[in-house]
Amino acid sequence: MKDVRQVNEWFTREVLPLEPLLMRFFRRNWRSESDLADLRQELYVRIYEFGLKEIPLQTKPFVFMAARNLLINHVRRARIVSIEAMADLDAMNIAVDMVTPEREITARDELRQLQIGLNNLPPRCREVVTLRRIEGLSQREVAEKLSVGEDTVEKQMMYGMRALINFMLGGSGKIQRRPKGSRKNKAVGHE
Amino acid sequence: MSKAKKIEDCAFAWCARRERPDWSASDQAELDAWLAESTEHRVAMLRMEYGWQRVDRLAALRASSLRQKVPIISQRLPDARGPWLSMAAGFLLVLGLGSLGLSQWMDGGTQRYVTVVGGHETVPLRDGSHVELNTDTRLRASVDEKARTVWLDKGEAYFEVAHDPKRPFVVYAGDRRVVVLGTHFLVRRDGDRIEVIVAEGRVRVEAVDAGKALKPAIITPGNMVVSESGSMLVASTSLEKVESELAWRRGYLVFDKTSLASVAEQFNRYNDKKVVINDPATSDTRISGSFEANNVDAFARLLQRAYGLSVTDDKEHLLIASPD
Repeated sequence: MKDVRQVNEWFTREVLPLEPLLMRFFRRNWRSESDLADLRQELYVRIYEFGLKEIPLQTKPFVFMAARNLLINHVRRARIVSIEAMADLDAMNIAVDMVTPEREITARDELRQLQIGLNNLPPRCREVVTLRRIEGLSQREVAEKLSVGEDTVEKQMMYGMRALINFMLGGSGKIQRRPKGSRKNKAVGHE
Repeated sequence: MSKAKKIEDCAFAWCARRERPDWSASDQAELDAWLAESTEHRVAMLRMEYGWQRVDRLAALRASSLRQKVPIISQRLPDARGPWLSMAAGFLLVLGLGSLGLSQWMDGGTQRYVTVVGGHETVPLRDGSHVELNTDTRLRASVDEKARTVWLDKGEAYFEVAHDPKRPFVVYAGDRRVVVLGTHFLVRRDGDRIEVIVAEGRVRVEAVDAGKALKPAIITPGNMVVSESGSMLVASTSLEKVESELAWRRGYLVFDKTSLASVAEQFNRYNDKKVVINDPATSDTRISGSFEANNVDAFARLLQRAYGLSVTDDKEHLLIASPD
């Protein structure tokens, strides 16, 4: 059994940065967008539990191999297996090899990306996040400045953080308001 | 909503809650219990923390006020050139460069400070104490009439505490609390592992959660505490060792027969260009000497010349291997 801290560190440093690539892979090989969050979660659990026993030497090929196996299992579990799906899964070996190695992201790239994510937020939300996180005003100060209630500030702040986190993890960065009752207006992109 | 999304919502709520200044030991215990419930919770939390941390860099976009509040730049320069250069620095920050070092912002009376990889800054607190942040460090400080509290969320910081018996100075690092009895000392945090080294005076290190039957340790110069998941070790160390542990304050890394693997780890804390050791045979090479922390290229040249190792530079990594 490995030291949990070591596994956490490995998971954060080597597995999580692969998420944008991984989601692209899932999206290409899985039809239903609404399953993606569950697939990712299941995969992460497997990878993490494997890591507790042994940290793989080469994380990236390991992650994509595990992703491929997971999809194959899901296809097998499905009652109707289309020939097409199996053929696609065979082709996935190649897809893994062709995934281009991403450049290490520097602090500067990251800030640039954050700036883009921030610009994508709706104006009110962006203003709140900017005042709170960048200008460093307190919740009350922001509420006074924009003449809105503190709970509005808090809500906008949470929406904004959530969308930015989504964006930094390779998602669309769109705000996800919880739809009442139906899931019709589900946001695009994974989270 | 899918199961994964529900868990994700919880993880997000935990991250948001942990930011609040009233985050307490019992909150932490509650979070720990939630994490222990399942691997699903654990990975969702790691993922959310990772995302949250990246968004936290937003503070580095802060431009104008940074220059006035933190005398980082002017301090180091001859007076005559000061204004011009700090203007130039302000301009660079507007372009969104975080690599200059420190960012800080206020959050409900709590001041937050962040340094990026390679950063190294000294900040004054309102009570006249000084905190020196090493590379890749995050901390929060709250100073008022009654108390002085600092939370070290990540990294390493050296404290010079202004004497004030009426207001205790307390540093929280994970599940340990360092209570200052008037002094200069260092706290380093890497996940659960916490090290405290005293240069002057005395501090007391204890568990945050009083329920834990851990005896508090009082440490004096020449002593250090290493604490990791529930255990606490007090070791005596030489004053030379204290001096070399604090060498980063002068911008140096000091090694004494240290394995190349851990030397590389140290350099990688300070530089974006990472040292990668390609074969296990070389990772045990022993290195002694002091090096400029930010000059990893000079270190690589030395490995080549003095140790005869092969060094390949692909701009983002320095690959070290034994000569063929």
